[in-house]
Amino acid sequence: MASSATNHRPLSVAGTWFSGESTAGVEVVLRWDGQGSITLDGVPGGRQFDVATMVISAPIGATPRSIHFGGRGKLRSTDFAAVVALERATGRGQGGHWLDRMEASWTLAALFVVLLVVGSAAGFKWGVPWVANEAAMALPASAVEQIGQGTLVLLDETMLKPSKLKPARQSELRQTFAQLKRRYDHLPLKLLFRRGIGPNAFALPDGTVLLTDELAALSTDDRQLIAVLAHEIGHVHHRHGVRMAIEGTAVSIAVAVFLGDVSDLGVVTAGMPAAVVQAQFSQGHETEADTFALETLMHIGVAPHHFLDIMNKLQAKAGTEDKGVQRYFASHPATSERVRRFGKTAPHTHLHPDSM
Amino acid sequence: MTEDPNSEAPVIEEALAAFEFAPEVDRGPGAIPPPPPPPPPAAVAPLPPIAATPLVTAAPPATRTLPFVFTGTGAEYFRIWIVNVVLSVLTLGVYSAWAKCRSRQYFYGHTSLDGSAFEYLADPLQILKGRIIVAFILGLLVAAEALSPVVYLLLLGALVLATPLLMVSAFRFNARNSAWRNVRFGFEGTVEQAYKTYLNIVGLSMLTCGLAAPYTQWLWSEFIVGKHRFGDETLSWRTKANDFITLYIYMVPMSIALYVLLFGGITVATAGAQLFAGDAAPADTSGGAGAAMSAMMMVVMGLFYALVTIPTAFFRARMANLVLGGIGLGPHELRSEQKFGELLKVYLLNIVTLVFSLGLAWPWAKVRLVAYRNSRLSCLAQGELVMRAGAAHDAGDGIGDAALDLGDLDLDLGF
Repeated sequence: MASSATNHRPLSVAGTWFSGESTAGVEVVLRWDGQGSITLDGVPGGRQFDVATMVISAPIGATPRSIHFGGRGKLRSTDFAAVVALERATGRGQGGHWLDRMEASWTLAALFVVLLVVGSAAGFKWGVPWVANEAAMALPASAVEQIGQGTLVLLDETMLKPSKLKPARQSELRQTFAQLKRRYDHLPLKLLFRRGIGPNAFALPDGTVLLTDELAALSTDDRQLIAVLAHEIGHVHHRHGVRMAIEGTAVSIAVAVFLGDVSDLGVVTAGMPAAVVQAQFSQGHETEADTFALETLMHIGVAPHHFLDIMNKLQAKAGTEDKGVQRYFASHPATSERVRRFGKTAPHTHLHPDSM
Repeated sequence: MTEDPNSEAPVIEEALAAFEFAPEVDRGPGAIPPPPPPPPPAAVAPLPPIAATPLVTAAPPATRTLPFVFTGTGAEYFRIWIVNVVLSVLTLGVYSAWAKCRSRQYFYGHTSLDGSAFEYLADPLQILKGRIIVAFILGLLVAAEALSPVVYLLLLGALVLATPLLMVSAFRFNARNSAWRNVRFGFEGTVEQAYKTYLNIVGLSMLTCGLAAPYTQWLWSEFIVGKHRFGDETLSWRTKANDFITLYIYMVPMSIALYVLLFGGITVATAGAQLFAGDAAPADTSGGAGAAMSAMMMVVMGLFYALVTIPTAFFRARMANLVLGGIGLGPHELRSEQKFGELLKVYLLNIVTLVFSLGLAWPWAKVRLVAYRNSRLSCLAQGELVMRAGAAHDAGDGIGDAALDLGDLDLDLGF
């Protein structure tokens, strides 16, 4: 290239030459003769290089540019215009100017901000749940079973204790559960009894539904338990457990990408946005499971108010509801909201609630 | 997940980055930031006249205080950052390696000592390689966590065992790719030394139930700082274990005061809200009771975060002064004089900035912090000194390094 270079107006760049042997620097002027030769004016003894060996670093903001010739020495210059001219004339730049131009533009920055805000809002509203759902549904049954069993073992070792419900009561509840189960042949549903974590029921991804003694004791009508179990089956049906894991990962990655190491800036609130978004997903799942329970109850002829009743009992037991800001961190929708849904639906059912 | 980048001297930042791998033991209470390593020394006074490049001048050494000067601006960095974020998202993370490089180059290039800016030289492809390895490990962990607790714990154990190795690799990578006046930094700690130090720390922590934290953190900092070099000169570190212990002792009454204030505040706020709310129905979220309660909660949470920032600022300012301020290179020394009150102000301003911009003003916050740190950092130079690159210059490409050369393994996404 050097030899074939067409004649060009000679150019020069002022800068500091660092030999690479030590930190000693020398003020120099780099001169290109317009053809194939570069000389450094100011270096003891003078230095001469072939323009074909020259490498000019990519620009980034207003930081110094580097020019080297394959050896250890390097010219550092803030004579930006001269470096760009040399780069254009010799074609020895490393590129990166398109990036630099993007980074210099306020118009593009504004456009990107809009894109980012709209994109992340849409991504979290539709994108992440969709991907999580597809991925969860694509997961083979064996994997789901593994997950469920693993979780159960872990829970049994840590929080849960064996049930103290009488065998007769257990089999009674199992029969009730079997009624529900019949409707969902495709799900490998199984009912287990445990105690130790207060009135509660939850589903594992593999179809195992756990009911606590405390919840069984709290209920005043088995139809209330059916309503709760239907809700839990809804979680299994929608594979919420797996989706939750995927969504949680997506949220933490997004927050990390977007905010970087916020904690280093002295902002200890870094976890907050993630917790809020995560809770929104969770509330979405609960609403989905509620809908599922509602449909199931209507199909099998159990009045929806039974769900409402047990909710109210749980609420009374738990004390006051989360309010205001706390709502956004809650895993479940507000009970009042859930109750409203079930209450509203009740009059439309063909089965008239016996006590309404 | 991400490390912070850019602190004072770029290299320091590197080490900070690498610190992300530090095991729990080295973290002080209150998630303190990692100690940083070495900065650069050396000063070539106003460019020697032609022909004057000898390594040692005979002139009597004059002590000069050379400030670290940071010239980056939030406005300039914002545009780099937004391009980084958007391109990284659009390329599904691939661009993040380039993003990190550009971000680092920006901060290094705008940090200068004695008129010369630092330089970040990493090859984005190397960073990409590190990213892929990290992504693979994380993927394995996530999958294992979901599928089998046993496999998950085994993997986690393996990762803990590999920590010193990964850290040494990261230190080397970062140091090797940092330069000032065309002389590179280096990290000479070996994997064996890292394991030895690490085992000492783990053992001490277990024996003392974590009470040895100040000492173990000092041990680790000493290892990191002391194994860094600039050119052919190894850094020295004057900070003593006692300095760390003293700092931790200061933290005790501060933490107690914080907890008292915090729980007192919550109790008062709750009582106040209930008083104010009167007997409004407890389940009524939309009523005045709900509003009052939620306003109170907001105030308490705001207070909480503001309060936690106080000891954080105190600890980080002191720690930076101890770690950076103890660094020496030959006859030259660094001075770090961050002030608790000033750093607290920077932190609080940053919180306000970030909250009100929903995170979009992150680049201004970061620049503010980096500018502050640099404004408090200086080099006490003894006369004209010129540091030699020495043979160490190319050590990064040595054989021993090849096996360790995993690229850049930290999780800093480069924003």
